[in-house]
Amino acid sequence: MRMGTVIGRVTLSAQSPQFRGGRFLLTLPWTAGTFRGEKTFAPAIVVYDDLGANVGQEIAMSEGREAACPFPVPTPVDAYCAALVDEHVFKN
Amino acid sequence: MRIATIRGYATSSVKHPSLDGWRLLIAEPESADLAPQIVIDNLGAGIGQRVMISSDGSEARKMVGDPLSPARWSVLGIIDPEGTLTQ
Repeated sequence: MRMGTVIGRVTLSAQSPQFRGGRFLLTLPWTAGTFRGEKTFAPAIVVYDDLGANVGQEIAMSEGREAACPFPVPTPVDAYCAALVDEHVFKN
Repeated sequence: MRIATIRGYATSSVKHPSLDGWRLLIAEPESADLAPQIVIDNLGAGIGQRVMISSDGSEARKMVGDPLSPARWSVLGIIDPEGTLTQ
């Protein structure tokens, strides 16, 4: 799972029924530099969220095949918000 | 599988239920093509230790015991510190 910072939301007027109950977050994934205090991020991605993350929240997101695992039916999802990060410690 | 160094940890009170009770460590892979990852660990790896991590999600789901878990990266082993091998 990569860390990410939520910078916005994506709202859809029509969507696949599997996504009901969740929402979509525009998120900047962290790079090694981000952990070291730089303001550099990986390109923004859209993350499915059913935990309730807000703009500014730091999250841990699962990507790839595992992003779809929490859904009971096959779902086209690339990134899933698995945890809202309260605090993190990073030491070089 | 990658060799990585444990750089820290993350705490989270709101998370997928399968991650309840799991240590979430920040592992920085030694090859720079991969960003630091949050990994689950049941071996007790500490900050500064080199570990072997795996992106095998099915192993991670087995570890947490939930087939619907989004967990992907896990610590498979802690690498011996340099200089501990005898000739």
